[in-house]
Amino acid sequence: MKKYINLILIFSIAIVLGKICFQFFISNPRHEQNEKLVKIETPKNFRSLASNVPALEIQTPLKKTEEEMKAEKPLRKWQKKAIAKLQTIIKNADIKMVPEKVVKINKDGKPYTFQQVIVQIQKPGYSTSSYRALVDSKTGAIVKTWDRPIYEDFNGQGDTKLVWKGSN
Amino acid sequence: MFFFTDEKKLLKGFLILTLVSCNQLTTPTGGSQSSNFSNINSLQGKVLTDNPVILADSVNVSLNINLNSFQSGQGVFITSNNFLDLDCSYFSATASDCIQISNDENDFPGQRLTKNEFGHWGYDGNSPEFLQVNAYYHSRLAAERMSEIFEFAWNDSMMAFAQLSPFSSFPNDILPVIPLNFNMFWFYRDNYETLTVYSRCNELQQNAVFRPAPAASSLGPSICLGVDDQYPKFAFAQDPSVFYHELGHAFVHLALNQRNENVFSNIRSSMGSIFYDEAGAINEGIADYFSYLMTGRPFLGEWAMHKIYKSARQLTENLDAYLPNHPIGDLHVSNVTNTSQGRLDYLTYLQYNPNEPTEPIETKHYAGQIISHFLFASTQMLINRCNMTTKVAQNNIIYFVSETLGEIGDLSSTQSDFFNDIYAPVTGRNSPSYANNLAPYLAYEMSTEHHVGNYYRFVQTFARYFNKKIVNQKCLFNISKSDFERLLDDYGLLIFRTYNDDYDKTNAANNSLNGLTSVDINNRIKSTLVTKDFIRLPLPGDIDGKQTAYVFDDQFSIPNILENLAFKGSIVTPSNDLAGVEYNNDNNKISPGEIVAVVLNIVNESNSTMGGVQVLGTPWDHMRKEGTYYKPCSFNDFPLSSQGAASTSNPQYLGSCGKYPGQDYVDTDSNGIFDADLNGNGTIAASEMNFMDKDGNLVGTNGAAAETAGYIDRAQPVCFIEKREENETTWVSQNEYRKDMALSDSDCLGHEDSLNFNPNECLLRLMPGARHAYFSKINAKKTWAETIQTNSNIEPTFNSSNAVLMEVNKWIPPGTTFNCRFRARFTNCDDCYHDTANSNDNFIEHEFLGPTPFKIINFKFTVID
Repeated sequence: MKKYINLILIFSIAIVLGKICFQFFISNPRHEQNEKLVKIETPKNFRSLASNVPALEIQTPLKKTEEEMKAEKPLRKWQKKAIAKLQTIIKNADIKMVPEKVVKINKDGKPYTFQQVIVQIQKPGYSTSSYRALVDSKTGAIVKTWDRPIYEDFNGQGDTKLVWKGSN
Repeated sequence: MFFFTDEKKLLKGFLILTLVSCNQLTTPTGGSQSSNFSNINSLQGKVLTDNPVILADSVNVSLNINLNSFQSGQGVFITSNNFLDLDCSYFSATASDCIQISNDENDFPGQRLTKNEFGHWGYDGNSPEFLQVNAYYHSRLAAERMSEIFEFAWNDSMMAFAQLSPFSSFPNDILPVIPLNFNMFWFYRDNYETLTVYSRCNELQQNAVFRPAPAASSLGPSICLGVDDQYPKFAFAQDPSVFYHELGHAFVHLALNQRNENVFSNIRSSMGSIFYDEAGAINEGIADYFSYLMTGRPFLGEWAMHKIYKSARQLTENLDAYLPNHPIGDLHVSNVTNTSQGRLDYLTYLQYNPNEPTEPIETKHYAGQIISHFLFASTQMLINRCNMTTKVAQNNIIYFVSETLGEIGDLSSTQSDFFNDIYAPVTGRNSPSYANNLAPYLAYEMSTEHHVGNYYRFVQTFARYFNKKIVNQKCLFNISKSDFERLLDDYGLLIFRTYNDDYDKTNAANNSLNGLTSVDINNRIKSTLVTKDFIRLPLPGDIDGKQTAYVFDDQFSIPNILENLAFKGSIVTPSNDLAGVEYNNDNNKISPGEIVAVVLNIVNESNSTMGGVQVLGTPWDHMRKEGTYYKPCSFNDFPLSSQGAASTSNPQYLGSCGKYPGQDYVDTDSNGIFDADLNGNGTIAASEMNFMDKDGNLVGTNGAAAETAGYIDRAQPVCFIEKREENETTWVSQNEYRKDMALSDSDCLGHEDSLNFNPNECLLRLMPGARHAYFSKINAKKTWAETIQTNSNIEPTFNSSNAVLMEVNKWIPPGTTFNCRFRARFTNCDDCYHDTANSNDNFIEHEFLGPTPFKIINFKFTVID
């Protein structure tokens, strides 16, 4: 009989804990923890990416708490410059540059430093565009890109058009 | 209760119960209906085995239909995993979590689908959860097929003598015992990456996208399948044939980069630029073929492409022979038949949309039909003539495609492990012996700009493998070389003269065991070859009155193009404070400070159509350094030496005119710094460089010796300037001109790019992401505009792929005259790829950075205020 009472007690505790767990997930805005708990096996590439990059620079669309926002490292100069350059031609877009690694290249006997980054651009009405780029650490200039997206444009009539209106 | 007999089991039960409670958080509450799934077990779900038009066998099926009626009758195996992720394998190698399915990219990353409340994967056919299960099912089939393809490729490349001429580009170790060192069967960057499939991207309208780089919440490549807000129940994920097309792009990416595991900075090749080009068209054609491999149907998009957008495509000229009761039926016009005369041939059908055949259009997808039809016809040839099963025939064709892509996308420049590891050392060549895409340092630019994967390169390489494997081995008595050449000719693709057995490495056929295999010219009936001399740029005052170029400098279309290019990854950021669209004055002239689009009005003077006309504004070897400054080389007597042309012989100067050696990207002292002399001024760390001569052999690592030998040479930007002085007028480099103007580096365009900055584009710069133009075809005696426009009375409309973008420094004095030395070629060109003076062997790689394989186009203009 005692055993059954213990069992009932244990089951009750389990259900209560389960509910607490539920509340925690719903109310806690730290979604990163959701990810860790729900997806038990972290992909290998995440580990690889995370090991190369300061955690706060992995910019994801996650919502962060005010405290986290304050605690977040500010963008580095080259990031600010590079994003600002792109924003001059891509209007109303949310642009992120996720650092992957630092690349050094010697030119004319002088070493230059470049940042290999993932550029992620979100515009209203589009999915996120992404590609890899080498960014000049000093100036923020994008010097090389690859891994560009391939869009289908099912309703498209081809590229952006240039309509000739006659010479002025 | 009897099973909880001890404390350990009690604890276990407790933990399980707790975890189950937590896990239910990700289980959707709606979407499943237990009554529809009474006959499926816990590992199963229901799927759409094909798209609704095929399952209904009717094109009239409504876009609002309840998709439950099309779900598979019996449950199908989905997964025993807790989430929708799967592993991929290649022989004994496994890429864990190679694919995972999510709903929308804007969901937070932890939100993953699990089994429903009834403990299985059955979901309402109209729910987002169902789209995920459906995408997972088809992803698993595709991943299994890809593994099968790569395993077939490895086995086939290892067959006796398979290594030998032509050498396989498939990566392998020296000894063909077990597959080694091939992580690249999947996305790999130090570790295997996960391809995330978003089955319902609510932000992505009327579109789908394959993204090789991480985006949104994905940590690796991803596919986003979009929606159309006009049809709320419709989603692209409901059409497996379209999803397989997207996975086909993933396959192209893998095959293209199979040799690139250890290349500089993990750079990966791509097949196609942002806007129209033939590499992109080939990519689309292969993706269509991949869809056929998966569905078995030479048709795709009956639901997602045809129902709304009337943009479906097929892969055969004779649909009735393969799908006699297809619900849509044959899309082609009556002229298209599976006879020699009626094939979907290159040139005739480059601008052909079968859904609107009277309206010529220039898009990658429709131009790619020529490749998909050719690949399908080649498959049928193997089935019908070689007694192969459909699957074996498909495996062979996609293997040759894979070999071809591996060669085009090779950034290691070694082309073949066997060639590099055994053949080159045995034959006395240095190792590494570069045979492909010049050398690692410039391989990316070579394969995407100078020696791009157009129809010529793709078809010639594919044919080399087909000839070796099918004609000479597997189908020796049933398919002759002529049979295959005639099929190529039916498609207008017999546009090469040899099979390039020795690659683009040497002037002589000394890399091939069997010499050069020539095409039998008697088989060339439909295919046409034209000399590059027939390309002409009209000049002011020409008799036909055609204008030289169309200049666009408005503040609407130019910002649109820039935004579109930058969004998709081209480098078009203006130089800070020196140029910008705010200077654009819409007067159709080139003025200081502007960013302008220039469409050169190329005329085809020949009596035949030119296909794949490409105008390159990329830097090339057309200048030579003499003293302080580069001087323009003289080509076709321009400029004359009296007008400032470079000397052609003086050995005291660096470089040459039109001879471009390779250069490695090395770090020989292992200090973590890669060294390069990017502007070719000779100030390099001598111990750091590898130099190759024009045959691809290492000259040595001694920079000083290479310099003395005249090997140091660099491609230079295309535009130079007319300098007027009291007694003479000369053509000088932009660097010389700006020094006269006392402009500092910081006043030069592109100065913020310390990798590529070159003062020879200080005043006028072709923007790096938009410096080559493409025209799908130009008919005989016409311009592109006259070719594509059915109404000659209206002003022409151009695609942005027809234009190059120029950045004009605001400090240029009005009245300054420039000459920009573009190079032009086209795909069916008789003297742009093979050298008629050298047994029709292909030009060697470094020639593609010089003048020989191109028609030089001088575009001269004066900057107007």
